[in-house]
Amino acid sequence: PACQGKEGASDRPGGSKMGGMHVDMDGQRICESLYQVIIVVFSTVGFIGGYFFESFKVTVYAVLAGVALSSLLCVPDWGILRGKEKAQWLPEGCTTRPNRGG
Amino acid sequence: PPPVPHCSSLQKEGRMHSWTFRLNAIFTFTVSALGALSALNVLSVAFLDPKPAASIENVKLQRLPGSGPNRPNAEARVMFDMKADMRELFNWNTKLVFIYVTAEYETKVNGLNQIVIWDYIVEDIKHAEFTVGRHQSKLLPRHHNEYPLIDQGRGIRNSRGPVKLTFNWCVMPIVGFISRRKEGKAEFEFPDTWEKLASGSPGGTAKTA
Repeated sequence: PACQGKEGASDRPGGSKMGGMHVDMDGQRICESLYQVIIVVFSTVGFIGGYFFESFKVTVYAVLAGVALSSLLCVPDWGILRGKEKAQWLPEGCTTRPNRGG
Repeated sequence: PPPVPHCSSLQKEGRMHSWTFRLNAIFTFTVSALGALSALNVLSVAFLDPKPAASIENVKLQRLPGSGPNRPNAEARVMFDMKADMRELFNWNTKLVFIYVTAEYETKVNGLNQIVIWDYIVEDIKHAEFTVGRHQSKLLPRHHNEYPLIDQGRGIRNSRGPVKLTFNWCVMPIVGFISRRKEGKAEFEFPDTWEKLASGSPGGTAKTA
């Protein structure tokens, strides 16, 4: 190993010091893509709808509906989003990357 | 060079994975999305040039009670028949349209006097076409005002040229700049004596533009 240090916190669920339930890195990445896609799709549909109904209210309501859906899917800590693999952190005290192939 | 940390302690502690972080990220992304949509909205209507249609006829003056040589500023009430169609101005970026009629004239005291004598706020396209005056069949809904013609310089009787009634309109969009345009619609001569004013005639033929 490139450095000596205390054992990392990979054995604790989510690596959290706060003791609560959290989404891990994979879940977070999925969530980020998910809300961006949802809001962009709702914005596009809302823009086209607003143009044809001659009302900007339609567009804004569509965006807000996208926000509501994204928040429902992404904000609470659903169990599904927590990955099965726990992230392997470097041992504490290590501040350098391990060399490739080393 | 200082060593690059392998991971931030925030991420390791899970602080960057909390629900508050995701909620904040969604909120900021939404604000950006709404900004982009507003810009596209403005672009979609910026290159149109809609014009309303309006005509003013049959201008009549009425002497205000209390006005006279002792109170020369307050001159008259200006009454007219007007037909207006503002429906073209309403697109999906219009919040409301503000219409006002001004009496414009030149005197020795002021090069240009503009007195607002009538105004109206049109909030939606349903009320954008209307008639005012003798042929008016229904009252205008709220936000409609009439004002007397009050001359600041007391020189309207000797004005250079006729008094022009101008139709002005202001479009207030949901996103973007407010636009203000005008068009002259009618002219008349202000009567030069109190007797002529009291008899109710504008003291000349009211020409319509």
